[in-house]
Amino acid sequence: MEPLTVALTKGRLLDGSVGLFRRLGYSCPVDNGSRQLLVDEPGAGLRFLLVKAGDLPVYVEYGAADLGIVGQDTLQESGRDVYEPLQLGFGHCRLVLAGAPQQHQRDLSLAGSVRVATRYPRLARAYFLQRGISVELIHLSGSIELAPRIGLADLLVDVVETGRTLRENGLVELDEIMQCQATVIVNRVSHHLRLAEVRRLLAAMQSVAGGVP
Amino acid sequence: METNGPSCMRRRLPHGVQDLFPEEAARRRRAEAALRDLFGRWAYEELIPPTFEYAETLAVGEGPDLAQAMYRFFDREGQTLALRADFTTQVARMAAGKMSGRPLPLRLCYIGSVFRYEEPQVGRQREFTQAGVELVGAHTPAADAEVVALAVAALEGVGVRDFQISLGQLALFRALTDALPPADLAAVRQAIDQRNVARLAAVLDAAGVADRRRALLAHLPDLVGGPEVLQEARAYGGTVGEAAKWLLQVYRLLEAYGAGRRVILDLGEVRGTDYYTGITFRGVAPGLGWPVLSGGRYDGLIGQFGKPLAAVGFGLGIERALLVQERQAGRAAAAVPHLAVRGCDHVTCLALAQRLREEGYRVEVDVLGLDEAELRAHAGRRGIGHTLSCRDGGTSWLLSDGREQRPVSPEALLEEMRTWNR
Repeated sequence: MEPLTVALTKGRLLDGSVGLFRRLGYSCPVDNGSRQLLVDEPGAGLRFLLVKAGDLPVYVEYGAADLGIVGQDTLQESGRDVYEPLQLGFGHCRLVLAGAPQQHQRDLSLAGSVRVATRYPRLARAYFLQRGISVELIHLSGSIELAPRIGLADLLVDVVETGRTLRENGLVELDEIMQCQATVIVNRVSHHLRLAEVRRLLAAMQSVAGGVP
Repeated sequence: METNGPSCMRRRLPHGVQDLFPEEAARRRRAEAALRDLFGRWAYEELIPPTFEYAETLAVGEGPDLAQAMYRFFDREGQTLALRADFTTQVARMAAGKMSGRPLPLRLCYIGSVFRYEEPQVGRQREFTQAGVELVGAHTPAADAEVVALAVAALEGVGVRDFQISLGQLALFRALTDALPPADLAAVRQAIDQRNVARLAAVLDAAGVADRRRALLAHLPDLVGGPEVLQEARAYGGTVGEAAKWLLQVYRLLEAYGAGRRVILDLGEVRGTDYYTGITFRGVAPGLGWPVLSGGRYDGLIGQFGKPLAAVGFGLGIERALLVQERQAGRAAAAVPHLAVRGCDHVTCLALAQRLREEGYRVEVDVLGLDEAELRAHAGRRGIGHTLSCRDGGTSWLLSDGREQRPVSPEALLEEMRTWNR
């Protein structure tokens, strides 16, 4: 039998994910410095796959990984078609709209042209569309806080954990778009074909995660 | 071959379509032939609907996603036409129209291309091939079971070894949610579909769903497995209990068909093109993230074309099934010719080649004027095991297998070819 493949992401969620598997008794020998991207968990019928966060939902949707741990922000942005049976109660963050303090007074629906920098074009577009605000989205892949400071954009949509980065860049939160945490996602086919294994693993993860089921 | 410039541009293909070269084309046609033959043995008759028709007609019963994915264009009168994105609507139209005088039930099948303007996925381009059946005019668990059993036979028939059918009952979900306003219904459906238990609990609370109804709805994502997952719903009684009992009957019949081990019941299966009203099912295989096959009962669709008739059917994605088959069983050898015959102008030689073809052998007669050695080299490159050439003005023949050459009479040749691998 093929081992069950669990995809994890380098970065923010890795420590929490690895900690979770170690509490379950797995060695889970990966960390942010790992060069090894595919690691077998000896004797456990499990292997770990390290991928970029934005790619993780793709691996799971295609069935290249049977399940994975990813932030809600990344999952929703990807729009990938997977099961999401379990929230893990760590990796909390919020997707927010932010800008310079004076943007508070501005009625966006009346503004002629609003430029918004973001790593989340899909979620940002949906947010503004729902409010009937037309904006110009600028898709960046990092250091979003810079964009308003140097005049590339008026606003930004990004995730914040503590809000410190925003403050340091003289920005304030204008609206909360969604709350996120680490989520287990499962391939729709694997879930059925390997039901017993998947269920056992999910139940174990739930028991040590202490998150909401 | 030019790799740049105008003729290279002329060889481009749009995103989402592909050429099938001989080996692939042969595999596809073999699968289609196996399915056509299988459907015939279950007494299903083939329909060949047109590739395009009025967009309005094709959109009947379809959800917004599929309707949006249709390729649309105008005819010269300005009417909107569309390429079919699915066969079921066309079969429904035909069943309600000119076939409506025929004795029921109708057992109908189809094989052909469908077109969807969406991002290509694994084993699914923008043009892909569907084969499927529709059993029209029977509202019984027996009809459902026949169609699911045929789906199992179809996957086996194209050589897929390892797969499962996940079988749900949309009627049960519909009965549980009949009182919900559309927005709440959509939220509940999405949470169940994503097996998001936490969000499901939240949306059920927000929608004010309480008591037994809430308990059963909250359990749906986990009710996946054997017939034991139906207990709670059967005990619920009413329309919900009826729907569960129906599904159990279908399952028992599938066991009788010998297909029970292929079937996993899934009450959390609440997705489905908008026309489904009863059982829904999909065929899944390891290593492929998407279903190979999907189907279900749609009792309301044909009525929209003027004749209310219950129906159940499935469609199978042939490219996907072949992809799975190849992963599981490896690729069968391509059908190379049995024999290459040296070209000549003797009546007797060409007549011999014709006779072999009529006997069912693949025979290639040279048309380039190759000599003996060239023909052997050509046969070697093509993987053809034997070559034949004539002597004495087409009155005797020499057969070569690449190592030795020996005289052979037409009768002896036929006799020997029977022992070759067909």
